[in-house]
Amino acid sequence: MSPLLSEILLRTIPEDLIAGVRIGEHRVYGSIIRSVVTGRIVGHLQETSGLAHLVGSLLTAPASLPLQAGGLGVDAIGHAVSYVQNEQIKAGLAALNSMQLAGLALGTAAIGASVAGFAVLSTKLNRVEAKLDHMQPKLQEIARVLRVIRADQLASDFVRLRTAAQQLDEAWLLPDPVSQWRSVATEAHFLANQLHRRAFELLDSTPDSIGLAEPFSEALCLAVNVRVSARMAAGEDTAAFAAAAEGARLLSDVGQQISLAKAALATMSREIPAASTEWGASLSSTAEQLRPVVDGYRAREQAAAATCLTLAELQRQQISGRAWLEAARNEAEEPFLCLVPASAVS
Amino acid sequence: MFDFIKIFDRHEIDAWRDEQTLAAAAELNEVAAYLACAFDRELNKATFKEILINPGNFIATNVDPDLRRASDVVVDRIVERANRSLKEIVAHQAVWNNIPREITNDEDSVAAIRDVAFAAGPIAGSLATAAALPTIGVTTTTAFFGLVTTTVISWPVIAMGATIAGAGLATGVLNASKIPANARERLRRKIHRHVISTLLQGSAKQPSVLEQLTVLFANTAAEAKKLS
Repeated sequence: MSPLLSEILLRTIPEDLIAGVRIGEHRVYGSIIRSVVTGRIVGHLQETSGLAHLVGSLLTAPASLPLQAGGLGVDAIGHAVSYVQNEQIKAGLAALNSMQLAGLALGTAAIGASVAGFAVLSTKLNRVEAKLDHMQPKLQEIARVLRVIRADQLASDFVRLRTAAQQLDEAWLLPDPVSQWRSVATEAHFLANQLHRRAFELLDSTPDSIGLAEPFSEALCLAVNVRVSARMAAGEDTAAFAAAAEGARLLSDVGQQISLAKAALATMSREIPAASTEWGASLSSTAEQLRPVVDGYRAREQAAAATCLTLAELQRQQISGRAWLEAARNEAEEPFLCLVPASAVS
Repeated sequence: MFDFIKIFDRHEIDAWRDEQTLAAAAELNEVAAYLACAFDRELNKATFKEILINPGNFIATNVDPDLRRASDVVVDRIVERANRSLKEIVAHQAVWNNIPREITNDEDSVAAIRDVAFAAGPIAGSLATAAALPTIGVTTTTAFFGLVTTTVISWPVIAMGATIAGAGLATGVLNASKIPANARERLRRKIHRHVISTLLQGSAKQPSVLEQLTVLFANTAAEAKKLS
């Protein structure tokens, strides 16, 4: 970490911010901590290599106990991981839970700029693809709505995204990485637009398609993160901000089509007669089943918007994106770095 | 520059829209279930003429007034609760955004909901008469109440005209005790369908109370998001 950056960046989240989140005075939206009282941003978080390792451990650990044991919740495809008896992981989990970011960290959104290496991104992508596989019986229907000739064409988006993520990581090892980062950003830009179109068209087809569109929305989020990180790594901060802003707009665009109530009413069984106890129970249970999916869409939107706000804060404090990324990548122990906004300091 | 922080505020309003819609659906379903049972009891007291000759009139005179009264109370409660909840959200966001905004306590919106159109419409005992009835339009008006746009609930209409076609049949000698069970069952099913289509599952031309409230909440959320 550069001497200047080390003076600004905190390796631990200040106690008052953690306490504020715990008692409800602050809320965490992606990478920002916001005061519920004033609406102002009181802190910016940045995920680190430490968090990426923790998430990688959690996502790949053999299943024995559900994630709920760690207060994390099980993801939509029902994966569970073991409660690993490791003090560092426990401490990381505690930090994640105290900031209410466990769900986000295990999903495809980034907290700040993505610093997850290819191994973690690949694991996350595997889980997204598994959701798509889980929908195998509906893939032809998805392909019809998206007007693609064969269902396996959809898989090529994921292969390309995996390759871009791999190249993003690989570039850190190259003597002259900038051209590769630029090429990754270009590819991720195309993929983000493609995945946005797919998610948007699926959601436009019927109100009950939020489950079908979910893998595309998650992959869109990953593509946006790859694009932003590639631009930051290449030292192209203005382009990185533009990419983050466009990504936030794409995800917001998708989110605008999401309504939990409409989806629940459209999804619940037509066989159950209305004006009955069963109908009420079915509506309630359908809504509860869909709620985590809707929350996921909202969390991805919020994380993307928060990343824009964090990048804007970096510009205000004249911190280069490359230096920020390097600091986050070099931090292997603490899960987050924290930046206090300039307005809060002055 | 796009104001990214507003995305967080807009999500609160989206959540408001969805929770109010789900709560309205649950409440209207309970009311529909209760009323369907109550109308079953009412039907047991119905006469031969009411059941066989003029079932449309039975709905108009024995079902709809109670349906309407019960719905008024529920709609009042749903709208009041939704308004109160949205006011809290928007008042809070106004503080965050330093926007001077007067949140009134005007209760006119609830009154507007009460001011319902209860016209004539197609639930007919006679096909010929039913076919001749005009289709109803959905009358929607808007009124500003704090931040919530309110809609006049447009009620499905009952075919009084159906009695004319049915009257010619009222010359039989059957008494109420000999009413075929299936005729009573047919009317019972018709009443249930009427309750459900009025409160929960209407049609494009005659949206149910729930469908109208869903549009109301969606429109209101869109307006509130513009202000946030």
